[in-house]
Amino acid sequence: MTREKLSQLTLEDLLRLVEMYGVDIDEDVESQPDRTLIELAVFEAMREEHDSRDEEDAFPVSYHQQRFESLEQIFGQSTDVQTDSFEFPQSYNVSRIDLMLRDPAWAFCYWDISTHDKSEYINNQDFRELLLRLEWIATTSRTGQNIMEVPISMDDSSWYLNLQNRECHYRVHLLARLADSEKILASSRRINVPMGAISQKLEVLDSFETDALIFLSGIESLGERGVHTEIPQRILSIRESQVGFDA
Amino acid sequence: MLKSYLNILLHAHLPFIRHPEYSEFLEERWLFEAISETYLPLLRSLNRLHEDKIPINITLSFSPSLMAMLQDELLQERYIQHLVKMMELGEKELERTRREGHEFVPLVQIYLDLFSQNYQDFLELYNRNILAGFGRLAQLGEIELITTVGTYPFLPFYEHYPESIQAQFDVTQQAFARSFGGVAQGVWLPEAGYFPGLEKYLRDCGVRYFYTSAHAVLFSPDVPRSGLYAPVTLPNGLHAFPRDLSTVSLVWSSKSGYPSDPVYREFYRDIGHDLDLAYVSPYIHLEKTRINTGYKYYAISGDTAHKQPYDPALAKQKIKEHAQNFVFHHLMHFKKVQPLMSVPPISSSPYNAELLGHRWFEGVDWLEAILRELAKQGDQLSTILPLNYLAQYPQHQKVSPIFSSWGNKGYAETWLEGSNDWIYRHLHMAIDRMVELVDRFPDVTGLKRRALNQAAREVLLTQSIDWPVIMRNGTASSYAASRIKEHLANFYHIYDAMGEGKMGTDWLTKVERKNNIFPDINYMSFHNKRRRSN
Repeated sequence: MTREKLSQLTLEDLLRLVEMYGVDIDEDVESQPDRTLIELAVFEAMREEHDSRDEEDAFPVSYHQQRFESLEQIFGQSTDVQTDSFEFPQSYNVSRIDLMLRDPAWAFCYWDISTHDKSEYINNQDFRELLLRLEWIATTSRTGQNIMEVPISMDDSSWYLNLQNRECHYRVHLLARLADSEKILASSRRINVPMGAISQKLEVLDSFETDALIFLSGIESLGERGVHTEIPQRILSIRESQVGFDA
Repeated sequence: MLKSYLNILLHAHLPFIRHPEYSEFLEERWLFEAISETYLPLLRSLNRLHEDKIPINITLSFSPSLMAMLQDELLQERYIQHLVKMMELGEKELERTRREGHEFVPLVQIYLDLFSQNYQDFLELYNRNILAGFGRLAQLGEIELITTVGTYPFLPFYEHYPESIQAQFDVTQQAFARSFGGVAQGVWLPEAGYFPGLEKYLRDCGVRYFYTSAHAVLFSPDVPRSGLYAPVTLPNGLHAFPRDLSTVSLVWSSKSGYPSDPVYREFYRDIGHDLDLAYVSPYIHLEKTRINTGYKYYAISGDTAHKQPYDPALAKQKIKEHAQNFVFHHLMHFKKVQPLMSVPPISSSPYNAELLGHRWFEGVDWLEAILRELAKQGDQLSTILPLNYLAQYPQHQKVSPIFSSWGNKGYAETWLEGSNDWIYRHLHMAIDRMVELVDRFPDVTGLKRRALNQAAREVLLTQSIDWPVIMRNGTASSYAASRIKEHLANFYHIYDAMGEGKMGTDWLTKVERKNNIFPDINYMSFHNKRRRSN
């Protein structure tokens, strides 16, 4: 949006943008000079967010979002879709937990606890705490099985879990810890976490052609945007090699 | 010297948006703008190339939800009404700009001609079904038509719900057969979202190849010996074309990419916002909400609020420069790649089709200029269709791709973050309940079957990746949330009615007419054929 566009907005719409972009204003917004300051502050805030999002986003995703981003979506009088007064349920009265892989470093889990389980375990005088038990098994079977526990409150229903290991399976259990025992209320299915970096098999391949083609494929830019990716020195050194490649 | 190839894919997709309950619905304009500015201009461009005997060889993917909308009689009729209004506005603008002695008169004429040509092509040439135009080009061997998956879900989020993935693939091939006949042999996975195991579904529904992100192949446990410059073969025999990153920023970057050149047309300046409200009111939403009309008179002009008038002649010159630059860039890059390869290198570049024409007004002409430029290059570099490449070079390295997408940082953070993560518990539960319905009511007929088919449609419609994208964007999030609510409301209405044995015909008919996507759907697609793994 341009400054000119902002100046054409009604004060009400401008203030909606102030709120939307979290712009601090303390002037009297009714007078024209102050309005100009507000427009400037909003314009800067919008540009900052746009630049920041643009840097973070992969280009196609950015475009996909922009398709839905235009003035009519901000100020358009969006017509409500008829939903027969349906509301998203707070609970489905089923004990369940699901684990979703977001990237090699993070997974998202959400859960629900049935009324039966709540009365049987949570509302029991022996109940001590509710927790998530994250379990991982290395696919290379070198390190065996490991667990990590995260205490959660009764108000929680979802959590982002940091994944410490790669090339392994993870699953998560929802547990109620009682005075002298524990009860698994639900278990997720497994997710498979990839390495998120170039394979170590490259080390034994010993092929200049492959090293060079991987370099020319833009592995460097992938590394910067990736999650803890390390690019082998032998690939990076191709840039300085006699071949003089410049991806 | 080996030849080098470009594998250009345009993937066309819009979420299923159809609101017969309203006389006019704002978001339906997304489709109308895409038809006017991308799909019809693209057809004209491809036909020009065909007539001039310029090799085309590009791949087009149409999403099943887009195909459904393009074939829908209500939306076709509304598109015609839209065109009539836009032509009326053009006539009015011609009169105004002439009266005021404005420099924009020739530009108005260009837009008016564009709308008039669209009107003529849509009604007379394609008899309202523009997909037929693309089908004809495919029959001529000029383009390859493929598709993407169902309602455009991010498939890795449904890995634990095989019934739903199966149902999405079933409707995918039904929609393709209905639109173009036959089986789609190639697939653009929504946002290139892949997880290991997905290839089983793809192979089972007749697909031979798909596209992956760069991450999927470069970070595979099997080192891809050709980098991103050859397809890979999965253990089950399917082929995957990895996305080449070398030219991504040339086209996609909003700061340095071709579309951001100052001489190109500015998307955000439109008379729907610039002119007096009373004047434009008959052509904006409900006569009171300012929206884009398509009449845009300014150039990008750089990072300034003082935009220069748009000059089509300057833009035309720039298109040629950018097309030559694109070809030159590839020639230079392949010069380094090609000596390292044992088969001719192929660079796979997928683009959102609507980027060309709609957002980047000159984009369709740029693509045409590239193809004309390539025709001059002789044998050195040319476009190729994926199936032709695979036919000529069938042997490729066996590689197992990894979970990935073409999204931010190569994975799934765009579609799973604070603004949208709350939806998945509801979407997943609906799948479980749908599977439960199938188990309770297998192979029923009559009204029950209609109801269960509709339930299946509603579950699939909740899964469009567009909803979490819009939520992340924040601008139309209430629309996205209300769409999920609507489909879940319809689904649970059926779920409850089936349990109580009280399915209302009137209600069901109304919902069937509204959400009429996938007429060939069979709810038994949700039958648990694949056991859920632990």
